[in-house]
Amino acid sequence: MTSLPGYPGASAVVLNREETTKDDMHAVFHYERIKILSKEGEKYANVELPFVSTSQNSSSGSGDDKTLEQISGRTIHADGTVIPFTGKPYLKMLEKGQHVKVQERVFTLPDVEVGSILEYRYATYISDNVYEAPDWFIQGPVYVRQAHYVWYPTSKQLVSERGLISAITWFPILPPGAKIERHEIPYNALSSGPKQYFELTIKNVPPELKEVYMPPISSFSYRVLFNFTAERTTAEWWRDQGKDWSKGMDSFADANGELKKKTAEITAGATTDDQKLQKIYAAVMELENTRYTRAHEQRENKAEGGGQVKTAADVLSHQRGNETQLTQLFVGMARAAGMKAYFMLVPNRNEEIFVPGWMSFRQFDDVIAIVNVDGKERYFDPSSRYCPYGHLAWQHTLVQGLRQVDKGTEFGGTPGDDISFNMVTRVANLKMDDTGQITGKIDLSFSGAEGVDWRHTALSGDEESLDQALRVYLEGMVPKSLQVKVSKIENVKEYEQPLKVSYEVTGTMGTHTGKRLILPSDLFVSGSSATFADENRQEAVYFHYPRVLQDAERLNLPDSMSVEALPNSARFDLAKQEIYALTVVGDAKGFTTRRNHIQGELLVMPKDYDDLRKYYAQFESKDQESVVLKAASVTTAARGD
Amino acid sequence: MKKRGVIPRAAARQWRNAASKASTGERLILLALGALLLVGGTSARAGNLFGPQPVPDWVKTAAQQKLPEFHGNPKAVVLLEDTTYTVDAKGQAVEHVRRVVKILRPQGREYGYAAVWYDKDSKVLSMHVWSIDPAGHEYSMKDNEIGDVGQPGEGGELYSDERAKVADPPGRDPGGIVAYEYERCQRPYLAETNWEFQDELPRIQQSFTLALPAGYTYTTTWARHGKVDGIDMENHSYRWEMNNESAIDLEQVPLSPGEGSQAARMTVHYAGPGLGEPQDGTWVGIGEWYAGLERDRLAASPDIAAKAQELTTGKTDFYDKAEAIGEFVQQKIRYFVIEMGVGGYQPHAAEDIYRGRYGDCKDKATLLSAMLSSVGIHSALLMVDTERGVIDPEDPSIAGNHMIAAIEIPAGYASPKLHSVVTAKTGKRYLIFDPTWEMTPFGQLEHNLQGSYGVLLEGKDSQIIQLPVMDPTLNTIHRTGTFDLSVDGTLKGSVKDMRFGDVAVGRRRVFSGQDEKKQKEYMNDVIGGDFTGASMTGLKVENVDTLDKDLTTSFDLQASHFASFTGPLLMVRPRVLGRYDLSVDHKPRHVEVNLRETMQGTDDYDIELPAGYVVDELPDPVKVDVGFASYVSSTEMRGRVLHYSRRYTVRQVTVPASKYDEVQQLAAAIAADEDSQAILKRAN
Repeated sequence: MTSLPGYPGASAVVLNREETTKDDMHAVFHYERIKILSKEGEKYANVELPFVSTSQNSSSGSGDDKTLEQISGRTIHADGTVIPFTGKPYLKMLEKGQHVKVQERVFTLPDVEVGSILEYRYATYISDNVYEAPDWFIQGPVYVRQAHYVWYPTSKQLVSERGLISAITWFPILPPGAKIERHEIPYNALSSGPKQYFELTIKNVPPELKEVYMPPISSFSYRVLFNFTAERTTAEWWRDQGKDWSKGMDSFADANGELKKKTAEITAGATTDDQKLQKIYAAVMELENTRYTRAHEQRENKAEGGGQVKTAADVLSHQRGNETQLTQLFVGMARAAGMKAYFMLVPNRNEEIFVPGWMSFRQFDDVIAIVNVDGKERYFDPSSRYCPYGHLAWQHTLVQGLRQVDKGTEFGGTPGDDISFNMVTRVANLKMDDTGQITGKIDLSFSGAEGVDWRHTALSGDEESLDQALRVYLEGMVPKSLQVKVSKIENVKEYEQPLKVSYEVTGTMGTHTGKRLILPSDLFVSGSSATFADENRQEAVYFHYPRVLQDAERLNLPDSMSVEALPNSARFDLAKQEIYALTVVGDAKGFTTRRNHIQGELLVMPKDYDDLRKYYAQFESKDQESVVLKAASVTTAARGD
Repeated sequence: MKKRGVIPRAAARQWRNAASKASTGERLILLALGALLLVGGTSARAGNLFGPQPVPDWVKTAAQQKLPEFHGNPKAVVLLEDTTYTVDAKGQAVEHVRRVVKILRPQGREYGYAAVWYDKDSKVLSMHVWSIDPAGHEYSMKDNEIGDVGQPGEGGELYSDERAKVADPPGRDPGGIVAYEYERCQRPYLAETNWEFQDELPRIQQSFTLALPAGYTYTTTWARHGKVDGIDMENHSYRWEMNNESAIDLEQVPLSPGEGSQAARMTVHYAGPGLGEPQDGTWVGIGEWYAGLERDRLAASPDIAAKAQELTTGKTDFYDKAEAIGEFVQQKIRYFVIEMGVGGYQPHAAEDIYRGRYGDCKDKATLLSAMLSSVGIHSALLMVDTERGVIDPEDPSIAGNHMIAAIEIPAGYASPKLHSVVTAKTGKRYLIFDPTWEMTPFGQLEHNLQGSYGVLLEGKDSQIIQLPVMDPTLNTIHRTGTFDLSVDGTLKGSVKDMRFGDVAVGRRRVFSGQDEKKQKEYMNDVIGGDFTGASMTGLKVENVDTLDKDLTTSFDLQASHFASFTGPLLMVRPRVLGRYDLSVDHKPRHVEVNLRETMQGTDDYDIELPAGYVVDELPDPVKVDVGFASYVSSTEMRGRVLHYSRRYTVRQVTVPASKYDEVQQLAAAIAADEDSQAILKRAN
């Protein structure tokens, strides 16, 4: 075997993988057999086996004291020569905290060359009184020809924080035809060993796919994730876990006397729920969100005269909190103001999609708030500082999550935003003098998601770093021969208003021929390249959020120059939600460009990729068209059409 | 090669993540029923019996000083850094450091982590961390709040015993003060220490004190700073102060050199009775020290000798023999790093390297030397740094981070294949070769080492040498294309791209290491930079692994909307494919300009114009020669064919700051030419 059919150029292939978990030995046994197909594949001879070990804590009994041992391996050349691994596997301490060690066992197999087969085995062990359900991650960067996974769960009665374990559940993401098999082990009166085992044999697993503009499906590679549960069904698990989560959130957000008093002060003068909530939201937005600064320790709070942060009222008193605490404060105050308010756990749509079948809160990124405002439920994201009132950070829009309801929790969805919510406008007013020097002003305005992004950039730095980031942002768009300087930034904290940036512009633009000057028709897109260069696509194309982009550029010319030719106006459409329009109009004093791009699609399926690529190529080519100027004495200004 | 403390802030962040994992990780761990009872109860926690020390006066004093006016707007400032380097009668050194940092801007929080690197030969004897928040509250960290991180594996490094003690003190906010004090044993096999008194932060008050036992002597050498004599403090102690040092801020500087090439430092060497490896502050001294480390490692075992013989069988020419062995070590010995203690400097034995077929840079250079010696070719190891300028000819030290080979060329031998050649002060000529750099042809040298200095480790003949700058014609791109332009603006044709030397490395890596899908994506990105609607077919790649031949990429191209209509005019960009644009700014320049590599790029494109159109105007020719580089282009009509050609030549790897305006001029000329358009109109 020198190559992998269907995957030309593949660097290696996993010929066989075995992973056997034996609970009663508190051990997992691993075996890997890898064929090296190219020089690049030789890197698989360097084996790094990470493991996290938590120390046994005498007070809680938690901690697994995990070790990784019994490493053996060999290299087998294509001619059958066997070179055993006789070296030393090193234990590498990557991180060591008070109760946790992040370590690696590392070793390299000898005399590896293209065509070699690498083989190695190892085992991981955990403490005798600890049991851990296995996670089988099947798909990775290398094609797997065959893999075999087995789990022998303990037959001992286990207990978790939630009580006695009553079931084993699993969340499988597998290709068609692959399935978990459960086998009974015949009863043996002399043995207290396992009574069942789970097995998966899988063949021909392709490597994980990576493309630009991918949907957040990295957590959907082929895998099987097992759980020990005290509940009998998935629904029960979410119900019970949700109940605990909900209780904890409510406890922190408790609208106690102090919070009620503060809420009354904040909402003074407001008469409707909406007015009250706007005031509450504004008060929360004023607080420091430590995501963008730094979490403070208890001793720092104490030094400042405050106590422990145990409730939402404490967050208000300290004038800062983390993302969850700020949402808890918002909900607590909404409740204190007499409104029904709920928490909702949501994933980050940039990275994850929530799947109820996987019983894990790791899927969730953040907590948002749902408040019944004047009889209607509305969604809020106080954890995302400066997100406009009544909106969510785009990562939390259009997702499924776990929300509170009056009697517990249930799965729910979040709304999206209108296309006009996310709007960027770019306006240039420029003037050229007789020497070709350009001076003028550019104004950018960011509403919605991009406004929030820039405000978060501001929160993580200071005026100078924001100024610099905004300068670099514009420099990345306009011709390099233009020098830009930020002259004013407005509404950084006024989150209901568009964030506005003004620039002073000087320099030159365009290229000369003997008698002409050729200028970009829209300087904001003059340097852009193809968005979709690849002709083929396997996965859907995923845009983060719908948005509107509007450009307007006016260039006034000196008397010595005038417009000779302009691009024709154009409008291109794709399906219903994608529209591009460009007009360039000339007159005696210069020309004006208007460009609108409405990007309404979030997900474009692979079958529609060709149309999408063609649409982008069409307008991106249009963007590159030029305005031709020449000496005024021989010119006739003309509209492009 | 061992180089300490390169990523303290990243390491500290890494540790912070570990702490976070411990507190928030959701791992289902279950206990057998009854186990909780077995592990119940509490035990006393070990710790400092007397608790952490309060914030010392030296921290408070440093914190209270008035800040001077800074150039720029630094994120943080080092208020105090005092280092005392004490050598005992047995030659063992201990470094004692006090450091106080004030955070000035939000981004300066990154500088508020405390980090001290160590390995098995340089233990941290003590470490204390304090902080004062912006409101003046004082904090002392407990021993168990100081974490420990190791080096993540990067660039083939699999194991290093280097670790750091790290802390994340409270009050790490703008206006806050972070201070720490530590004592660390120094590596016993070194008699050199570097006082690096300049970096990315301004430093207000700093000192270095050297305390030697009776009978010891020392020397100092200085990089990028004039020599300063130490103050004699009596009892064999000497002190240097270096106050109000400005920061090296290259964050916003285009074409910037590395920070290490700009930072000043003092190197101290010392010698005395009882010291195993005395140093006298010369390059020879360093060479002799290294000779002790490498002596037993260079022996060619029978296996090695046999392989060298096999590779050179039938070859009589020096170059051919050296090339065969050089390419074997370059291509067949896998790069892999294991560093423990002195292993950061000392290579493994050639025999072990050969047997396992892997090793790091010094291992590869060592095996190369052993194999060459077995066929009668002498070579020496050459210590370099991958950042040009770090090794300073005025400052003998072991500051390099990489090891390559210097192969002695027989007297009187000449060959046009020898390019990377240096003549030492002994009159001997050496061919410089890096067996770790897998993509550089034998006889040449990768661009980041060109023009830099290296330490030729030849025992008593050890010396500093400057590595050559390669001729631009050894690092080339030559693109040609023949196209037809249709009346709707579509361009169709074929492209051939031939490249040689370092400019081919990226593409060779893609085509030798990536699968076909990635290769296509790479090429689509290549054309996507110049076309908005292009498709490529018939991709053919030749000489991917043959480093001494042009890597040749050829393909057919179809690009819709390549030419665009503007009113009655048809605009065509004669420069069809490929860019050489330079990133420059318009600010005053204070540091040298890093042009990275010498090279020569030539493009020749022919576009057959559509019937019914004639040229109304062509771009003006461009001719710029600024000495260190030149750019020439022209567009002309040859019958119905629009012919474009250009040649871009870079002759120097660095240019002084005083010539920045010429760099700007060159950049402007290239940018304008690359976007220039030919204007066609309908024939009447």
